Amino acid sequence: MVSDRLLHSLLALFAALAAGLLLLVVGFIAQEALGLLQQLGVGAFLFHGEWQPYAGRFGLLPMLLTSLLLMLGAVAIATPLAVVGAACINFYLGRHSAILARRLVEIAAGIPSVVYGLWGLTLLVPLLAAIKQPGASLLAGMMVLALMILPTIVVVVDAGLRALPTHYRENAEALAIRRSGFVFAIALPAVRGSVITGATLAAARAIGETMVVMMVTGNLVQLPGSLFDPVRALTANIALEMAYAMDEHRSALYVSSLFLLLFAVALVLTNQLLLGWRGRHG
Amino acid sequence: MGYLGDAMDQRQACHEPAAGEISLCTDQLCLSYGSKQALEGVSLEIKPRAVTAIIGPSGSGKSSFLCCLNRLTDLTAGSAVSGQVKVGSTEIYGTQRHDPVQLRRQVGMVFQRANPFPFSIWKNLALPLRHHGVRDKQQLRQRIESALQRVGLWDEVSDRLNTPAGALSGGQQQRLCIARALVLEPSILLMDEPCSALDPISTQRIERLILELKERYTIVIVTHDLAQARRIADHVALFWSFEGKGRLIEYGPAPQIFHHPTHELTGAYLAGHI
Repeated sequence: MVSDRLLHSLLALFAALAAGLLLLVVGFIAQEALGLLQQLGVGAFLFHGEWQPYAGRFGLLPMLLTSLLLMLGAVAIATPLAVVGAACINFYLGRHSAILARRLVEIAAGIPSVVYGLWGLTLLVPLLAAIKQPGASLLAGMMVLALMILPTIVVVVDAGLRALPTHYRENAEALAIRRSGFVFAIALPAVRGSVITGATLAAARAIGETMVVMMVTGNLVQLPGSLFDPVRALTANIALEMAYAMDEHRSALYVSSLFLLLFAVALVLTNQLLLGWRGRHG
Repeated sequence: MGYLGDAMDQRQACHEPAAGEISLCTDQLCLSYGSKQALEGVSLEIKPRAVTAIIGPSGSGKSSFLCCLNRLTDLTAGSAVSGQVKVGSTEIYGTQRHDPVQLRRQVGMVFQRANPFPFSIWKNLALPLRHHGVRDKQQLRQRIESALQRVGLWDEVSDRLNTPAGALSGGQQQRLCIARALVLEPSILLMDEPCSALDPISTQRIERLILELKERYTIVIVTHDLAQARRIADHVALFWSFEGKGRLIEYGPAPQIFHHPTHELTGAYLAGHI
């Protein structure tokens, strides 16, 4: 009884500590950002395209849009591939190949992003440059990010598929439904929740990713006109300028961080919303 | 139409089916999983439009036998079947490769646990139909309604076809699974202990349903419950395990098996001595 209560208090303490730390970080960012935000108004950041910190112009729109497009593009490329991959591991590979494939995916999920960036820079960017200069572009960012987040989605969807009761397969067979029918009409729809969760987690990784986008997108602050345009993401901007930013410029970077934080919150809420909707209508 | 008497080694050739009826019979059926033999020399002819109960102790190969009848054994790696299973005029383990999909449309199956797919009631029934080419909304509706009516579920769920099937009670879920098997209009229905996870009232409901269904379908039911076999079976087959191998030891009309069994093991088993 006593040990139970002790454990409970300890757990509560640690939970409070973790939550407190997070709040501290958010509070700190907000405090650094709020002054400038109040002074210029949210509109000055959100609706203006010019990023000229020394002239006091802090339009984040091109970078916000770039970050958003990079994330959406990467998720759109990676999700279908990951779903097919997870289905393949579960229903088409033999037992040993499936184990091997799972290990490979887990390793791929753990590769540092800078390695993906390096790969993109040395292999993908020149390939794209052959199609259209300069190669470092929005498309390059989407593709490398897609590759980077792919294993995350595979792991989540694979876990969902593995948790499906084995008797679904027997039932489908007894109903004269072949394997392909089972995979696409029963198993994958049954793990829609996992697909949504996997895609959301991956989206959060993609929007927060800094190194990859810094290496392959060209870092030019502009509204992306085409997939082949070089662009700069919000995260890359912070990393590139934080070292020498002062005063208002520095605060503007904190405002960027605040927006990234809001993105993360929005992603979690979207996930909950989609899962909730699925629960009611699934 | 010779029943198998005492002699389990007696060969029983499969008869030609009567017109318009899909017959089901096995001849010297053996099943093994790897090096382990699960069934040995089972020959029996299932009577059409009647309930045949397969009884026997655990591990006597009853469920394995059932799985041979729709080739669900194919799913188990390392399983091998020899001997004959004839559905209608087709030898399903014959040399000319028989498509299990065709077979399973003729031979439906209901499992021990009610296991609807994690979708709505409607989708559970529409899914196999759509998969087999029924796209017309009107026709889908008609066949789904008729299947639900046949299992007595229509009145209970017609106003909530779009709610998740998992929200139904256990007995309702099992009846939904029976409807799902019937929606493809099979002629033979295999049931593997369909009531073992249900309460007595749901069990009674399903038993009544089985008695109704036998007017149209040939039913083979595996059951552990001897009282259930007495209540619903027209014919009874008793399986027994000899050194791990399941064999058929007695098969005949239910009254004969229950009142005048010929095999001594049958008498002892029914009396509860073993």
